[in-house]
Amino acid sequence: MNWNKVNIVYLKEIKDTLRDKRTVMMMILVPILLYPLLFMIMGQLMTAGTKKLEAQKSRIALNDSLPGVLIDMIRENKDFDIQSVDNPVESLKAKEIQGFLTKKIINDTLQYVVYYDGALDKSRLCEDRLTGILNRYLRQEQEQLLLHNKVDTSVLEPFEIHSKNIAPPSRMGGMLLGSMIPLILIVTMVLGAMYPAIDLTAGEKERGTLETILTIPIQRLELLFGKFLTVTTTAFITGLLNLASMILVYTSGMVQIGKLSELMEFGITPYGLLWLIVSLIPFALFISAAIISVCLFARSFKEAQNFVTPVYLLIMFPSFIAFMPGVELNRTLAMIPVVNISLLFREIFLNNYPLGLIAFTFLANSFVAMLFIIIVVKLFHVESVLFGENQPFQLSLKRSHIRPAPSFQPSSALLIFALVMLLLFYIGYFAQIKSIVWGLVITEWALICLPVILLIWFFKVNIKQTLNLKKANWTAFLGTVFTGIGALGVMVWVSRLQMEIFPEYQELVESMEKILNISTTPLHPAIGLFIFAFSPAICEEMLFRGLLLSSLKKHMPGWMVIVFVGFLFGVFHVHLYRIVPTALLGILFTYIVFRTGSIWPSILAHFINNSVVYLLVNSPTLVEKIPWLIGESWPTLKATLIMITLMIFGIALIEMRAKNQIMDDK
Amino acid sequence: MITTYDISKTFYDSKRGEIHAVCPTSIAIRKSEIFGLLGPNGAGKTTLLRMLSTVLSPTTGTATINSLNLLKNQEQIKKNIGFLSGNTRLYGRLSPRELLDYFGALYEISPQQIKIRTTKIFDMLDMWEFVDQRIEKLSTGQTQKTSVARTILHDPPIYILDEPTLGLDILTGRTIIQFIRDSAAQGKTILFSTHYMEEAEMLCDRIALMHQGEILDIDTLDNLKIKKNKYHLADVFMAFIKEAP
Repeated sequence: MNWNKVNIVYLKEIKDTLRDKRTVMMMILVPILLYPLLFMIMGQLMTAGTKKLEAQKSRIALNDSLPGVLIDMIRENKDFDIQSVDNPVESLKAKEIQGFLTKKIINDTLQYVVYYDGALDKSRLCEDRLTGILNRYLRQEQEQLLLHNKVDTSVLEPFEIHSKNIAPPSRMGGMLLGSMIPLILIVTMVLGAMYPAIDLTAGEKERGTLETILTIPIQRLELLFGKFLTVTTTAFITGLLNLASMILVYTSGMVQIGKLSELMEFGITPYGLLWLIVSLIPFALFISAAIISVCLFARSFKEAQNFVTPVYLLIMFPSFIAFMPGVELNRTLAMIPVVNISLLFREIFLNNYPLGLIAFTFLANSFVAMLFIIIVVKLFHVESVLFGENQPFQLSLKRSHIRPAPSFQPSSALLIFALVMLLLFYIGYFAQIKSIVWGLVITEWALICLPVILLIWFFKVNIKQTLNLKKANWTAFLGTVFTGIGALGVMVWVSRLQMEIFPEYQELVESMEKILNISTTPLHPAIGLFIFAFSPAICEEMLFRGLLLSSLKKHMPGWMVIVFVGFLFGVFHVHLYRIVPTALLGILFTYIVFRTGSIWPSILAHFINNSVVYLLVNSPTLVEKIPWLIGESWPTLKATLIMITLMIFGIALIEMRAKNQIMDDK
Repeated sequence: MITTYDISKTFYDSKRGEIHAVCPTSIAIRKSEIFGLLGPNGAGKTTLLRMLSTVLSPTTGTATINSLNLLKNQEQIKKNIGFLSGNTRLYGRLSPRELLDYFGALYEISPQQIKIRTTKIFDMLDMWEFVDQRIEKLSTGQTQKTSVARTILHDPPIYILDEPTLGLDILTGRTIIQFIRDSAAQGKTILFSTHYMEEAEMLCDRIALMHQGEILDIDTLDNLKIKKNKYHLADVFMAFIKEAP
């Protein structure tokens, strides 16, 4: 790669980007004007609102049975405006009054009851004022009672209680800034990166300049890096500008948040600022690469905007974590992009500099960014991505209008995956909570298998090609059996490793065992195997190794399809700790179908895997003999070696078969 | 100058399956000739030219361009050709001068050389009036002149022009036709595609008739007419299509 050319492209793209009004608006005006202005106005409104609220009298009703002394106390207080109403509770509901005080005797105990509407600010303030008066009245009564009995009133207060907040105002301010800034910063950075990313990829395709540049002697890699660095620069600059303006607005005291402002002081040390800026760099790389990778698939600016929106939401939601109480940056969280940066910023604003975790965050974000860059580079060499003229999902609901097709298009296939995930969330989990057995049967057959079959029928897609229903020969099956058994050992190893790193994993394994255990759900072993092994092997394979694989494989490099479908398979199992092992398993299954061209071996492998797990959990005697099988200890060296050998032998058989296949086809 | 060896291109479309845009094709284009690729829309002309200009890679076969192998010397080949098509648009937010400076730098021409070369081109194409305006603000004719300037900037020996007059008015179209004639006079090799029969009749030394991804015949205009015993090239073309399998 010639970095001089990268630089030429970079300088040109920066110039081009700066001449685009939309980008400049998003990059400069929004972060440095709009957001700070919004905060200032919000703060002012809040302060004004609180003051206005406090200046208002609370309209209340009092029960006639209340003692005269108490009524007098309330009358003398200027905060109240006493109304006489017929039905106080109804009046309260109708918002005619904000509070109602009454007296009751329940179980021989005298009770003073304050009625209020907790959903209304005014009414909550009224409740606060009334209880304040009641406490004073209570104190007065106590003192009188003591005086009457000639007891010193000091018995009421044998000691005083004081709380002292040792956090200096700067830390209190840091707490607020640290929760607020990450979210705003992430949103502005994504917006800052979004427009140039779309413009430099889909925009270039749409305007027809991509073909021009491809006839010029520059490698695609050089071109891509120039573009990528441009997007990263805009994301980074947007982030910096936003950070600077937010800090400036807060520290200069332009934002007032009512009484809170007295407790807080906003500021950041130069050292903290340095760390903020340093950790922004890999984060800018990460979001730029993530956004470019989706934009590459779009053919027009508008389409790219549609593609980016879900990515934008995906990046934004984890940043809410900085608002969550009790969540602190640790090694696990430092490995999750976005989450790590949100929490790290909070730490830095609190004047904590956990160098180890800062390094971890930096490395994790750099690593993920690099992963995305590799994907983007690969995609940039795929002609169907660069010049693709695929029609997106045609929502013609008249089946007679639909023309038969060999397989689904990638966008349609991903939409179907999203649909199945939705069904899973809204119906599958609900059903599984009601009854695990029936829930699983419904999930597999009604929510996965049925939609897939119906969609294939409705859109007249070739079922043989889409589900990879080609026959496989015995070498492929034999290879699969060896690979499947060997993979089990590898899975145990990975799970064990994960357990060492994340001890929380143990709880999950236990809850999984409960699901599979016959002793709590008495099932005939054959029925158990049908539900836990046979059904997933058929239904899930149809969706992943059938529909998804067949529609994606012609549009991506082979290894990328294998990893991507495997990853989706991991995501499908919706548990953070199951993603890695299941994704690995998914990768293996996808590889088998990709190489053999047939879905049958992977159905077999899926069945073997699930039934072995099911049988293991239900045969305690076997587990006692070989405890590593369920991850209670590390597998022995001998077992590991045997498993790896089996897997390699299996893969070799599959590879051999695949080579013969290509020869036969030729 | 350009020789293709069974070059072909197959696309995959989820709706229609495999599409053979260009069937294995072998043609040889001599130095300093104007070679026309004639065929209706969808004949595969654009795909063939895109492969020869390294934008797309062939599914099978290869080609040599100025003795350089298409699969191995892509960077060198790009320096040897000027590619112009309806799809090769320009960066609207740059001025013609900035655009040529940018492409010149990517062609690794020195800044002084770029200055000399662009001055010459601006004179030749009468561009001075608008060289510092943004391209998005230019008229169609001015934009087309800028495109031509971009194509000849690095003074390549070969021009590959894909429907260069498509969608242009008569005057602008004339500029292009004149440019092709002048270039041929300077000894450049020109491969150009069109679906306008008159253009092919007017310019080409030899013509390849292309239909549904296949080359039906390659010959001079006169020979083609004699072969089918027709006077108009359009009739010749129809006669070939009727005989095609």
